[in-house]
Amino acid sequence: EAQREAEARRLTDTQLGGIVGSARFSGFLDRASRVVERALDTDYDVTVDYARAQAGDASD
Amino acid sequence: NHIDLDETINRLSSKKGVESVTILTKEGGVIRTTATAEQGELHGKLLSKLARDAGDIVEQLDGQDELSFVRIRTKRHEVMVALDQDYLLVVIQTPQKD
Repeated sequence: EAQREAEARRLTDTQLGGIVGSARFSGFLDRASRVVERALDTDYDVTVDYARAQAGDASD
Repeated sequence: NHIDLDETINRLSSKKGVESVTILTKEGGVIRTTATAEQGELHGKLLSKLARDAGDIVEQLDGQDELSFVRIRTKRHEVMVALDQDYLLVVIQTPQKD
């Protein structure tokens, strides 16, 4: 069953090419990468770094 | 477009502490991953389910709203998922001490 589900998720080369070549996908990639990049760049550990969260980064 | 995709993945991969970058369809199909094929498939299976569940919660809280980003903080890792209705971008990071 798990094997069958994994097969169902697997993309063919044709499907992959269609996705990667689409404007829809390019738009997603552009937006999503910017969101993640910003999250990575402004990373601090909220679970330990309370002082820094208070001192700076109040730009939002 | 292939170049854009590879460039984007390389840029994200080179960020501090980033372990893997995976791009998925909403069904969990792996479009691209920097992890092993096996890990990519596991991420696809688990994170597409997470995105569906989280999306359902958001919609039930506010029918006009839509999920766009999920961040899971654990003791050892941080999982970030940026998504829209069709695709997911997954970055797994091991936070570094400064």
